[in-house]
Amino acid sequence: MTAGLHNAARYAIWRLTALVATLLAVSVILFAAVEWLPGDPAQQILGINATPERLDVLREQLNLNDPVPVRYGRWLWSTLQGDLGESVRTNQSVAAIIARPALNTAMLALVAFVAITVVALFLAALGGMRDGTKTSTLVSVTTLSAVSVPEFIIAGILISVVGLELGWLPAVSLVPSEGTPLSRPEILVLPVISLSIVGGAYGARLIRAAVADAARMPHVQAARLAGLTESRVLIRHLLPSAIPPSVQVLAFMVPFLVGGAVVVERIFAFPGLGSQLVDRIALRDAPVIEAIGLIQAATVIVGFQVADVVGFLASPERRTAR
Amino acid sequence: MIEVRSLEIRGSHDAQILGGVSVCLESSRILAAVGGSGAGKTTLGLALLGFVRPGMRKVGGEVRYGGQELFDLSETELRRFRRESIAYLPQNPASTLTPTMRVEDLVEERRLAKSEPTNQLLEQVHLPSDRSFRRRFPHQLSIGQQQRVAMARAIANQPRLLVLDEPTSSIDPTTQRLMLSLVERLRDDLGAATLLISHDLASVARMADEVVVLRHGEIVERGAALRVLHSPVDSYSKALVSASPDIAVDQPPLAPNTDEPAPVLRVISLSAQFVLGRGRGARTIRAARDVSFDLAPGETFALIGRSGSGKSTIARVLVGLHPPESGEVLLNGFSLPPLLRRRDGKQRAAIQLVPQNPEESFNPRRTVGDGILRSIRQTRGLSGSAATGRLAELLEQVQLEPALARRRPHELSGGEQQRAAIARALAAEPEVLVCDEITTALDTIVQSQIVDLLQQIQRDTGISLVFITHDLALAHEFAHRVGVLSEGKLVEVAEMADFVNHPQASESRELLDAASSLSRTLAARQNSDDDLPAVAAS
Repeated sequence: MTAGLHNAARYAIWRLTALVATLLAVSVILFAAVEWLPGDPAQQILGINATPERLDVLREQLNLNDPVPVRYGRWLWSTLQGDLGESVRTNQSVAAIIARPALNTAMLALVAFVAITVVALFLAALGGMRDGTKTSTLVSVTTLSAVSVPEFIIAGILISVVGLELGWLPAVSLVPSEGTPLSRPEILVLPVISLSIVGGAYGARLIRAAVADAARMPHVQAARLAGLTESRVLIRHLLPSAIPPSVQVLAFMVPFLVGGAVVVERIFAFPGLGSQLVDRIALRDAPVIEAIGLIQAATVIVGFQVADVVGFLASPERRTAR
Repeated sequence: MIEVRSLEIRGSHDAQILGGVSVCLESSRILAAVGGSGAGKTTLGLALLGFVRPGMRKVGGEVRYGGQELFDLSETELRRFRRESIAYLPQNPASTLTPTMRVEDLVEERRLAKSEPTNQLLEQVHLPSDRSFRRRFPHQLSIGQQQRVAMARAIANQPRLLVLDEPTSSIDPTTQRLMLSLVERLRDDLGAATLLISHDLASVARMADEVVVLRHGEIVERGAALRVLHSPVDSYSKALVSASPDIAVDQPPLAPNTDEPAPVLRVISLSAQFVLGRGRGARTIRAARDVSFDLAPGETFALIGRSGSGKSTIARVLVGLHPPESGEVLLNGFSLPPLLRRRDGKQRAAIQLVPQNPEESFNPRRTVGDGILRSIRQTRGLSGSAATGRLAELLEQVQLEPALARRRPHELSGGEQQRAAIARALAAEPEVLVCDEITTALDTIVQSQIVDLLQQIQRDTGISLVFITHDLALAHEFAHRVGVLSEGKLVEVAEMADFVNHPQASESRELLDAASSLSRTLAARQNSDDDLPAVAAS
């Protein structure tokens, strides 16, 4: 027992160090990428008719003349203190700009993640338990079709049929100005369905393979020959072996939902982080781009860390290794 | 109790797996099914559980338990039958343990209301029953403990039917005796009927009441165990019995090396270790400690030991795949560089390895002939028609049909794969052949054919063999000398004949006691079974 605890503590410390190091590396890449975006922010703000003198003054105000490492250091230092700076376009604080979109995306992503997990695990268990059966083939074909159709088509069909034709749910997912998506939960339904068809099918295919691998292991056949019920075989003998690879697959849903959901956000006019990011890239609004990028990166990294930890805890062999 | 009538099972391409097999398992009796690999033994065993492996199907016959056809049962009824009435132990019992479950859960889930408590079940298989042991996961147990947990799990439902599929092939002698006593207890207490599947005739002779001999899915002979094993009638049964290695059968004296020529290989104070695991949790295993032996030209030296005694590490050091910690290997009096990449072409060719699993050692996408040709080109520098001519010679030498060389490794039988691996090693025209457990995966008839082949090659070429095995009975049939390894140390080196009659080290005596002997077991059973006088003569 103590060996296990000791192991877990060591593992946790190692993991936290890795997390911080990865975030630092990401911040460097992010800052450099924004730096290399074509276009001069001062020119963008003042327009093409600005005089060179005014441009120089603005550059000085924005500290654009300092060397890049100095500006990176300054940005990192203030970010670490919780100060994300101000938008170069509107002078609003970055925190105020991204707070609402971040909350909206968090809610959409959370609900969609749960839906994707349920869909993916259910289909994977259905298709992977007994490889080569009709059910298994049906799951493979269905999920392959769902993965192949671009999400904007799925979203488009949902809007025109469920939203407009039948009028059951709102076709546009506008968040009320005073409130969160949860104050009008019905606006989340169609975006979540669009996301979970694509994400769930993708996840189901990968997890199905993990479940099918586990189903071929000799201890699973032995459990069936021991006369255990199929649900017990599934829950105690088969799925635990499939957990570590499955959580890795589910972790890949985090970048899909946090950043990659921009297409769905746009189609439903949902005011999320992805839409905000695309808008701000067009405006060359560096502080906002960097802040959103950092939030997305941090969420993704934490997602994978959580997956690693769950995988670690689900594997007695690693948990109790000496 | 359970009756199999004209059972027919077919595999892919309608290939016959079982062709009308009928057997009957009686209460309190042990029936053994013996035969070579591919005879359909496992398929028969699984059919008793109402199970046919994927890719196979039952096309005829019946399996009746208590008058009820198993293959007509609903899923629920079949599950109930498996849960309450039968236990199955496959060839590698440890593989039945789910790695994410604790010992107590593994045993507990097979218990029924009538069963003994988990503690007692663990004690029956001579395992500790304290809480800390019960809370362990399989990977925290030794392989022997894993096998015992699997046994406790199997018998936890107090089965009235027992199917043991090659139970002894991966189990050490102590655990074998334990399994035997468990089977006997189930038989005596519950009147359990047992099907014992095995190619180890000595263990069959020890346990079984009746024997059926299977070949290509058909029963070629059946009868009382002692009668079949002592005086088989069918020609295949005869071959099976005579191929069974027997430590108690004296071997004709092998040509002695009286002129004492200079050894081709000298191993001097060899020590080797390897590291298990990674990082801070890594453990260093000392696999060889101060091992010394000589190998004369034309001699076969058997290196014997239990699993984990360091045999394979020594093989890897000899061929240069593993760096020794200290010590030296001399080839014809000259010191060999420890690592393969520092050995020159001649030194590499001189010592060749035949690995334990030949299929894995061939490229699965190329024919085995290509694999042998590659060795010919690399070690002898031949190409074109010279190389293909040499290939033909080698195939003839190992008695492998030239057509088979055009197949991929998985399309060959175990014995054919092993012949191809030997041909590939011989392509280098080596002076020493290191054979690492090359007969372990083969059935006894094929084993004896491979051993005959090695002896033939040795007579023809004067090659020296290091024959690594855990099967003393097999080694004693053709090795000139023997070395016994225990925990990395060579505890005894002796001429084989002396060794068999006067073992010195305690480990040697244990190995000799455990060594398979059909004749000895038959004699012991005949003395105890007075009701079988017919066999006592002859």
